[in-house]
Amino acid sequence: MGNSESALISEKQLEIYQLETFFTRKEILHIYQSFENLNPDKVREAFMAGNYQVKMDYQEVIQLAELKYSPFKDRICRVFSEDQSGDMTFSDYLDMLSVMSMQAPKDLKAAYAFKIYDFNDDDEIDRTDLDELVNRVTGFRMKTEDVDGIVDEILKECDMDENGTLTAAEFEDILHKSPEFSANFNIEV
Amino acid sequence: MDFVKGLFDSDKESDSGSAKKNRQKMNKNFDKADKYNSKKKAKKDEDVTGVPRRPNRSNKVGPGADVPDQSVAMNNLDSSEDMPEIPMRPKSRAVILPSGLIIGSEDDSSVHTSTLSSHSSDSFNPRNGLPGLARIEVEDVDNGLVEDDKKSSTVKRQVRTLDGAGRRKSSAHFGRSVSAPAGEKLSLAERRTLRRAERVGVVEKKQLPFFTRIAYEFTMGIQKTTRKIQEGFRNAQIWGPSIKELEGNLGSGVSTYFRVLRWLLKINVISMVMALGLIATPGIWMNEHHDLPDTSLNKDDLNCTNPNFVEGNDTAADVANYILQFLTGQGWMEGTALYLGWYPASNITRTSGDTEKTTYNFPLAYLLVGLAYFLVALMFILNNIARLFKKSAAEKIETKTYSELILTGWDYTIQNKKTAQLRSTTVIKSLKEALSNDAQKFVKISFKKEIGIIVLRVCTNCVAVAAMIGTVFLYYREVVRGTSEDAANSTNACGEKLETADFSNLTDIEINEISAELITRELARFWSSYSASIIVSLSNILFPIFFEFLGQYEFYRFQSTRIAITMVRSFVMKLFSVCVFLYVLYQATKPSGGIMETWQRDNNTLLYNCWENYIGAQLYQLCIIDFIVFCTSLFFSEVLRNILINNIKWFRSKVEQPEFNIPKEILDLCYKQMIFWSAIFFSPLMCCVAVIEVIVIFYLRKASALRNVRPPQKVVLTSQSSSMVNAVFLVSLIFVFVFVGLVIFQFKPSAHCGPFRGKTKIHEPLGLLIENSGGFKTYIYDNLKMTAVIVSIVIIVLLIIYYFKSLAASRNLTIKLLRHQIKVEHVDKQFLIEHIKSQITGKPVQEGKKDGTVSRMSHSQLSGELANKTKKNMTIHRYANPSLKI
Repeated sequence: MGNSESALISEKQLEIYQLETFFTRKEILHIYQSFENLNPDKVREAFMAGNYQVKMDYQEVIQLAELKYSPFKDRICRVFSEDQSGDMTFSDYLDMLSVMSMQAPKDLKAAYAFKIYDFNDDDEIDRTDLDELVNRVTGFRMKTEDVDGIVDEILKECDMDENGTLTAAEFEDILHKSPEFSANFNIEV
Repeated sequence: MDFVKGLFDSDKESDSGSAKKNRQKMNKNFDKADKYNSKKKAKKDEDVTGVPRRPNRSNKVGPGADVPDQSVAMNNLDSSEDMPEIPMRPKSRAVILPSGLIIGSEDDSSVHTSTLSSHSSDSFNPRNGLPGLARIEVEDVDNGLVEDDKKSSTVKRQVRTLDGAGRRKSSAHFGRSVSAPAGEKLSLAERRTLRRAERVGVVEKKQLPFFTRIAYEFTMGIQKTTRKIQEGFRNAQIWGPSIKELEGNLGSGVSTYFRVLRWLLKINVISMVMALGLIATPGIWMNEHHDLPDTSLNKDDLNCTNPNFVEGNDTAADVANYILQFLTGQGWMEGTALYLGWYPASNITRTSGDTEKTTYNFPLAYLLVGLAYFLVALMFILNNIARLFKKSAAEKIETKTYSELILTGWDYTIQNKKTAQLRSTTVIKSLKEALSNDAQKFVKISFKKEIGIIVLRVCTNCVAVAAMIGTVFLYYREVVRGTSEDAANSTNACGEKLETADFSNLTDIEINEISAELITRELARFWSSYSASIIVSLSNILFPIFFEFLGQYEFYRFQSTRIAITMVRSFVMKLFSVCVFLYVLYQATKPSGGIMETWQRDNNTLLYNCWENYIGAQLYQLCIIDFIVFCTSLFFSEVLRNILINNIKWFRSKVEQPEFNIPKEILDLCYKQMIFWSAIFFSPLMCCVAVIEVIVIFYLRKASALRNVRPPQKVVLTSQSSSMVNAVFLVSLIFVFVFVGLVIFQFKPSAHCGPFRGKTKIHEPLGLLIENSGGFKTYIYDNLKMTAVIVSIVIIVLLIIYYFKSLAASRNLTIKLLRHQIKVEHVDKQFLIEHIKSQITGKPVQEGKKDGTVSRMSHSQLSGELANKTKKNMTIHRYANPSLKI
C-alpha cells in the first residue's frame, strides 16, 4: 500500500471515489489492493494505462474470500455488475463493497438485498424466490415440504397485503425492524 | 464510475442564494430526466401494448376515481408527485370499494391510490429516491475542475440533506415510500446512462457568482474536515483486522464479545489517562519533593498486614515473598502508588511574593477523578443505549422468527467454508426449533403435570437461591476469619523470626520437620488471605455450570426461556457475589461497630492503619485471582479439551468440541469490569491493570477461539446480546457506584494515610470547594445532601421514563392501525383492478385471488359491510394523521 497504488489511481479519481462511496482514502486504496489481487497483471496494466474500466470475470471476482463461500455470490455479482453479467469493473467492485460496508445506511442495504434475493428479477419476491432463498440459506439440505412450510410462515409474517408476494416495501420494512440485518449484510475487505 | 449517491432537490435546503440556484439547477435536471423517463415509459408501454399488466404491479390503477380522505393520508405518506398515466377512461360511475369507500363519479381527478407496492417511482422523484441508488457518472474527469468541484459539492450537499431527511422520514413513520430501485424497472446500467445525460446539463451551467462559489467552497471545506476527522477516528479503531478475522471464522455473534472487549478497553484507557495524568503524576511529583509541608506520611503506616509468606533470609525466599506479595497486593505493594494510602494530602502551591497560592488541590482532584471514572463509564453505556434505542427498539412489535432467520439471517461476513456450512446447519436447527416451538404452543399439558412442573420449578429455584446464600455465607465467614487471622499472624511474626534465626544450629531432620510444619502453616496463612477471593472466583466458574444443569431439569417449553433463565441466574449470582464482597469489606472497615474496630478495641492494637489500602488490596487480590482462574479455565475447558479431542479417539466420541458461549462470556467480562470499577477509587493504578488485562484477555481469547472453539450452535442475535450487554453493565455500574458513594459519604478517612487524612469525611474537599465558591452553589449542595431531593429526582426520572414508554406504546398502536390500513387499501386496489377489468372486457367481475369473496358480494351485501368498515377506516385516519407529525 502507499505510493504505488495512489499513483495508479489518479488523485482526482481517488477524490471522486471517496466522495461517492462511503470509504476513506485509505480504505479505497486497500480495496484497490484486494481488487488487484484478483488478477494482478491484468489490473495493473490497465490501471497504468489509465483504463479504470477494466473488467474482471465472474470467476475471478468470486475468488474474493468473502464471496467464495456465500450462497449468493452469483446474485451479488450480477446485481452489482453494470451489464448484469457478473463481470465487474473496479467501480462496480467499489460500489458493491460500499453498499456492503458498515457505513452504508440500512435503506440502501435493504434495497440491494431485495435485488439479490429477487432471483427471477421481476421486482418482487414471490414463492419461487423464497423457495430458492430458503434452499440456499440452508444449503439445499431441507425437504421440499419443510421448505414450503417455512415459506408459508415467512409469508404469514411479512406479507402485509396478503397477495402472496413480498414487495420491496414489505421487504424493506422487515429488514428495517431486524437489528441483525445491518451487522450481517456486511462485507469488509 | 457509478456511485451511491443521489442528486435530488430537497426542501430541507438552506435558504442561501447558492441553495436556490442549486435548486433551480436541480429542477431543470428533473425536467430533463422526467422527459427522458417519460420517453422511456412511452417506449415501454409500446412494447407491452395489448399485454395486460400484472395486477399487483401495475401502477395504472383506478382511473377517474379519487379517494378523498385516503389521498390525504397517502400524500402524507409518500407525497408522490407524479401521477400514473391513465391508459383509458372508465365510465363515470360510482364504485364501492370493499373497504366501504365510495369512489367519486367525477373522472377529472387523478388517482392517489398508489399504495405500498404500486408506486410509480421515478428515480428522480426527490422524496422517493434513496440516497444510494441514483447514480452519477463521473468517469470522464477531464471536464474542468470547477464544474466537477461544484458538482461534487452540490451532489454531496444534496445527498447529505436528503440523507438526513430520508432517515428522519423513515424513522418518523411506518409505511414509508418505496425505494427507487425496487419500484422501477430500470437496471443500474440504464440509470447510469440517464445520469450521463443529465450530467451534460450540469456541465453546461454558467460560472457561479463569486459569493455562491465562496459559500460552496466553505461548505466543501467543512465537509472535508469532518470527513478527515471521521476518517481519523475510523482508522484509529484498534483490533479491526482481528475482529474481522474472528467474524469471518466464527460469525458475527462471536465478534460481539470482542467488540465488547474493545469497548471496555476504550473505557479503561480513558480512565487510565485520567488516573495517570491527574493523580499518579502529580502524586509522584509531590512525594519526590519532600520540601512540601507533608510530614504525616510514614511508610510503615501504609502496611496493613505483614504477609511474609515464605520465611527465610536467602534471596530465594525474598523473591518468593516478592512474587507472592505481588499476587496478593500486600507487603511491599502497599507502600506504592498502587493504593490510595500512598498519595499525599497536600496541595501543590506556588509562592508568589508573600502569599501562597494553591495551584493544584490534590485531594479535591483525587475525589473528582474518582467520580469522573463513573461518569465516563456511564456516558459510554448511555450512548450505546441511546443508539440502540434509535436503531430498533422503538419499532419492534412482534418477533418474526422465520423471516429473520431466512431474510436477514445469512451472515455475509463469513469467509470460510466450514463456518459457512456450520451457519446453514445452525439455521436449519433454529428453523426446526422454531417449528417445534410453534407446535409446542398448541400442545396442552394436563393439569396434574403442570402442577408437578410448577412444584419442580419452585424447588429448583429454592435450590438455586439456597446455593447462592450458602456461598455468600461461606465467604462472609471466610473474610471475617481472614481478618482476625491476619491480625493473629502479625503478632506471631516475631516468634517465627526467632525460629528462623536458629536454623544453622539444627540438624537436617529437624530442619525438615520445621520446614514441613512451616509449609503447612504458610499454606494455611496463604489460604486465609486468599480464601475470600478464591471462593468468589470459584463460585463464578461453578455456578453458571450448576445453573445450566439445573435448567435442564425444569422442563422449560422453549430452549430460549431456559437459556434466558440460566443467564439471569448467573448474572444475579455474579452481581450478588461482588456486592457481598463489597458489603463484607464495608462491614469490616465500617467506622463504628465494624469488625476491625471491634478487634482493635478488644486487643488494644491497631489492626490496619489504613483501611483504604485494605479495601484496595482485597479488590486487587480478587482481580488477580479471577484472572488466574480465567486463564486456567480457558486452558482446561478449551485448549486441553481440544487437544484431547484431536488426539484421542475415545475422547472424541465422548466429548464435543467446546462452544463459544457468548452470553456467559460477556457476563464474565462484566464481572471483571465490576471489580475494576469498585477498585478504581482505592487504587488509581488499577486502571493500568485493567487495560493490561483486557488486552491480554483479547489475545488469549482470540487465539483460543480461532483454534479450539466452534461457533455457537444457536443463532445468537447480536442486537439482543448488545441490549443485554448494556443493561448488565449499567446495573453493575450502579451497584458499584452505590458502594463507592457510601464509602465517600460515610467513612472517616484513616488518620495517617491517603490524600484525605485529617479530614472527617472523604467528600470534604468537594464541600469545601463549594462552600468557598459562595452562595447559590452552597445552597444547592446543602440541599442535594438531603434525601428528599434525591428521592424526588429519582421520581422525576421515573416519570420521564414512564412518559416515553407510553409514547412508544401509542406509536405502536399507530403502527398497527397503519398496517391494517395498508391491508385494507390493498383489498381496495385489487377490487378496483377487477372492476376495471370487468369494464374493459365487459364480463362480470371474476373471482380475484384473495379478495374474491369481497368482489363476489352483491352491492346490497357490500353496503351492509360498508357501515362497519367506513367507521373503522375513519378511526384509522383519525389516528393516522396526527401521528405522522410526531
